[in-house]
Formats: sequence, C-alpha cells, structure tokens
Amino acid sequence: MERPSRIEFTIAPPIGIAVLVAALAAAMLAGVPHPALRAFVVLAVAFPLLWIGFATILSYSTARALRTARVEAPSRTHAMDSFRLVLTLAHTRRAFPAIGVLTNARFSTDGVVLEAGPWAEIIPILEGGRAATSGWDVMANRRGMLLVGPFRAAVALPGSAIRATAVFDTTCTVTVLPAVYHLQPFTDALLAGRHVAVGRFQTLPAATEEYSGAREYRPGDSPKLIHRVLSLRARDPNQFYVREFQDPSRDDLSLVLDTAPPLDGNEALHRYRLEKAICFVCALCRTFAARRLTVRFVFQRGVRDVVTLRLRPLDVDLDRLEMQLAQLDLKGDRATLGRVLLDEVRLHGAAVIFVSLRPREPVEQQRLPMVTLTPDHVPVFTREVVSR
Amino acid sequence: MIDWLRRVDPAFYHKEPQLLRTQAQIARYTDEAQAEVRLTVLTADRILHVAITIVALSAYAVATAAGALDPRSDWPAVWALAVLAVAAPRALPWWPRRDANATWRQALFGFALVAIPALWSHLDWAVAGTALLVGATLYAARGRGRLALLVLAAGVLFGVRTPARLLGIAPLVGGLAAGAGVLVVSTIAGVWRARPQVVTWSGFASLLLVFAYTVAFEAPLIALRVPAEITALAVAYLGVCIIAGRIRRAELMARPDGVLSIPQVIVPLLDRSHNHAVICWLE
Repeated sequence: MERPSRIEFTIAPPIGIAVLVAALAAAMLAGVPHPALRAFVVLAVAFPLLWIGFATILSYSTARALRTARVEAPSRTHAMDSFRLVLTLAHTRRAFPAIGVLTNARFSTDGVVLEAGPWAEIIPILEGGRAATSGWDVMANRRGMLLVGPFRAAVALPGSAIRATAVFDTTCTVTVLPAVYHLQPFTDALLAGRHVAVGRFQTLPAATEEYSGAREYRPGDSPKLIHRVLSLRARDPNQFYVREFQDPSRDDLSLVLDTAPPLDGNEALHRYRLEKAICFVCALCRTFAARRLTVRFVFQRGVRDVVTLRLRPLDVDLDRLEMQLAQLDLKGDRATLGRVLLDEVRLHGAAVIFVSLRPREPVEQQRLPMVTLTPDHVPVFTREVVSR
Repeated sequence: MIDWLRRVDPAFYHKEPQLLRTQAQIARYTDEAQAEVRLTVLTADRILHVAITIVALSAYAVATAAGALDPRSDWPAVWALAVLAVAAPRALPWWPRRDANATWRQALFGFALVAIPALWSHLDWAVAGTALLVGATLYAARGRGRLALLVLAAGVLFGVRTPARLLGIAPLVGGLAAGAGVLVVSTIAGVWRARPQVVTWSGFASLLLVFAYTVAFEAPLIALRVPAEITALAVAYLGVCIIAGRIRRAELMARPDGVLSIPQVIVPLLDRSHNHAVICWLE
C-alpha cells in the first residue's frame, strides 16, 4: 500500500476566519470584566475553538492515514471506447473513521490535462482498517498515450479550517488505440470478387493456390510434387526438383498511408483527415484479415523512418498495427512518400491502395497503377462506431 | 466517383469546414452550476431548516437572558431580537420558497416568541402590544422590505444601547452597526456559494456576537439565569454543528454526478458529436 507523497491544504476563506476571530475577540472583551459569568464565557469561547480545532486535526490525520491499495486500469483501450478506472483506498488509522472522502484522478494526454475534477465520493464513512473503492468510467477520444494519475483523496470534516488532500503519485499509462470504425456495407461489395477488386489491375486465375516455381528436393518433401521435366534435365541423376505452390492472394497487397504534413499550412484539417485515415486503414486491415489476406502496410514514422509491417491475418499482427498507429503523427514528407509508392508499385508488383490526406495527388502519382483513396472517400467508406 | 460520393453524403463537403470550426467550449459542470445543485440540496433539507430554527430560538433565548429581558421597558430591543430571530433564517438563500400562508405563520411565530415567555411572569397589554408589533412588522414586510427590516432591527439593537448622554447620536450608532453588518453579510454571501462551510464559521461568529452583546449590556440579568443561558448557548452551538454536517452532506451530494469532460479544440473530430479529449462518468 502506498503512502501519500504529500498532503496539500486548502485553508478556509479569509472572510470566515476574520469574522470568527473578530467575534471571539468581542466575546472575550465582553466576558472578561464579569467573573461571575466565567463558566458562560468559557463555554462561549471554547466550544467553537475546540470544534474547529478537533475537526481540523482529524481532517489532517485522516488524510495522512489513507493509503492506495490498488489502481485498476487497462493497459490499452480504443479511442471513443470507455474503460473502468478503479481506485481502492484503505484507511489505516483505527481511532476515527474517514468521513466524506472525495477522490480525484488527474488525466493527461498530449497537451490536454484534466486536473480540477472530477471529484468522486468514495464512501460516506470509511472505517479504520477497511478499504473502499472509487470508480470512474473514462472515455478517451484522443489517440495516443493517456496518463492517469496522480490520485488525490480529500478530507474536510464539517467546520474544519482546512481541507486536507492526500496526493498519491501512483500513475498508470493507457495506450489509446485508434477508434474502431466499421466499413460501410457497400465497401464490402467493392472489395468482393478477385481478392481486392478495387486495388488490383492484373487478372488472376480463380484458383486458391498457384504454381510459383521449383526448387531442389529436400528430405520430407512429398514425392508427388517432384517436377519430372526439370528433374530429367538435371545433370546429376540423383538430383530432383519439386514444384512449389502458394496462395497468390497472400502478401500481395500493399496499403500505404500518407503521413506527410500539409503544404498549405492548414494543419487542423490535415490532423482531422489523418485521424479519419488511421481509423479507416485499421478497418480496412481488419477486413483484409477476415478475408485471410496478408497485407504489407507501409507508412512513414519520421524523417527517413519508413516502417513496413507485414500483417498476416492474425490478431497479434493487428494488435501490432494498432499499437504503431496509436503513436503516429504527421511526420512524413512528400519526397519519401513518392519514393515509397514507386517502390511498392514497381519492385513488389503488388496491388497498391494509397490512403492519401490530400484531395488530389500530383500527376506522376496519378499515373501509377494504384488506387488512391482521398479524404473525400474515407468518411463515406467508414461507419463510426461509438460504444457509449 | 465524385458524383457517387455526393449522392451518398451530399452535405459532407459543406459540413467538414463547419465541423472544424466547432470550437465552442461546453463547460458542463461549472462551479456555478455545482453551487446551484448544492443550493437545491440545501433547500430540500428539512433537518437543516429545523436546526437553523433551533439555533435562532436558542440565540433569542440567550439574547433575552432566557426571558428575563422585560418587553415593557426594553420593548425596542425585544422587538429587534424577535424580528431577527424570525426573519433572519428566512432570509437565508436555502430557505424554502414562500407559500400563501408563510407571512401569516411568520407573524404568528414572532408574536408567540414574545408572548409565550411572558406567560411565566405577567402578560399585560404592554407585552401584548410588543408581541403585536413584532407580528405586524413581520407580516407587513414584503419583498425587499424584509431585508430592510433586518437592517433596521440590527440598527435598533445597537441604537437603543447608546448611553443616555449620547442619545442624540443613537441613530448614527445604529446606522453604523447596521452598515457593518450589511458589509460582512454581503462579503460572506459572495463566498458561501463556492465555499459553503463559511456558513458554519459565520454561525459560530453570530452566536459569539449574540453572547458578547448580551454580556455587555445585560450582565446583571444573565447572572440570575446562568444555567439556562449555558443550556441555550450549548443547544445553539450543537445546532450549528448539525448545520455544518448538513452543509457537508450537501457538498458531497452535489458532486457532478454525470459526465465531466474537458472540451479541447485540438481533439480531432472523430465522431462529430463531441470533441472532448477525456470524458469521465462518476458513479
């Protein structure tokens, strides 16, 4: 259990202190000349002082006696999805219960801090030696890293001169993955047919596997796969070749995401488009995975930092993609992007889908045999899923 | 393709720039809104109202030396104390809204406050006249007249205690006392919405001032009834403690019990319905 790192105080309003001190002075000045009324004077002056002092000391000691027993938060969540944050506080001092403890958590993401609230009541009375939980439902809209903590627990007994706030430096990090979007039903229709009809310009046979080449026989290969013609042409009579087959739809689809910042300075519009595009490519990759396709996903993470992910139709690869996309920013450049597109089209010879952030690409890129999805396509293709 | 896009979502091209300009901050739970919720809780709290009434009656008992203050000779002071004891709690912002019979009840309450203690001594026309005067002024005071009545009563309390040789400046003394009271109350009124516990401290201070006033001007009378005075003051103090607890309860109950969010313009508009980076629900 973690002790509070520090105790913060919020003093009562100065006007309240001033009025009370003035009234106490007036009462003492009026009562001192009358010895016969000593008991009355003592009661009048001592009661408020004792009450306020007692409440103040108890507030402070109770705040010091609080401990964080546990903080429950997921390591990752999706944007626009909510998660449960639970803070368990324990009260170690048995002499007096903690009354009306308010808990608070600090949420911060890139440039955004939620610190002033919300305060949540943990429990009206937290008895000594017991623990209680306080919970929040948190929805993070901003993709990236969400830092939760430090936590605070405030105690202020009625009439106390202070509000004692125990600050616990416990923090936890939640990776906010891109929001879960679905593709519109008509997009599935566009992708139907020959693997990815939109992205493919060459015709392919309908067979699931095709002959892709031959290699030397290795122990364990099936004799039925021996390539008889090549084996007979070999100089060594003991040298055999076997035929190789592979699914032509595997690893033949490239998805390139544009991360180049704008040239016209309208960064807000491009950031908005980047968020949309990220959610869109996530949805697209999930759809391809459902069709058992392997995708080469290419994006630029920074200057001279081009990342290529080979996404097999496995959950682990999709998780890896989302973790990469959670940290993605507008850090690309146009020259590198053009080179990446040329590489994908010419060297890999795959069907290329380019998700662009600009409404229109340069003429030389328009001539490339690939499909460019502009920001105008993305909102139409995607269907936002809000889990609230 | 472009035509097809326009057919699917024809308004999108016009919506997108507007959405990006949607940067108005929506503060869902401001301090002022929370203070309003807190005030609603306090207004509905009957225990709080009973405690305030008990505090006011006990303070009246302390100030009148447990009924020893004679309404025949000191009728202005008795009138002012009775008016303050009845009207001051009703001027508090969390007192329930007045209904049709509230003025009558208030007047009868003021009449009884003066008349009933006199039953133990001698109820004559002078006492009845003072009680009727209290009832009549409480009945007649409407709207802003109630606040004026409180200020007048505070001024009378200090004005009538001016020594006889300085009787000419009694209105000035009363006016100064009333002005100081108005100043302090208005200052506290500006603070209590954000820091409601200042009311607790003000309650203690009010009782201390009542005590100081009584001891300063009515010490011989108090000396005759010290046990009763102590009892009345103790009851009043306990009432203030109950008030403090009820206010703290209202503070806890008036937490923002729904969504609290931070509107930020930098958050990309993902779903077009809200643009908050972090949104929290409370239980």
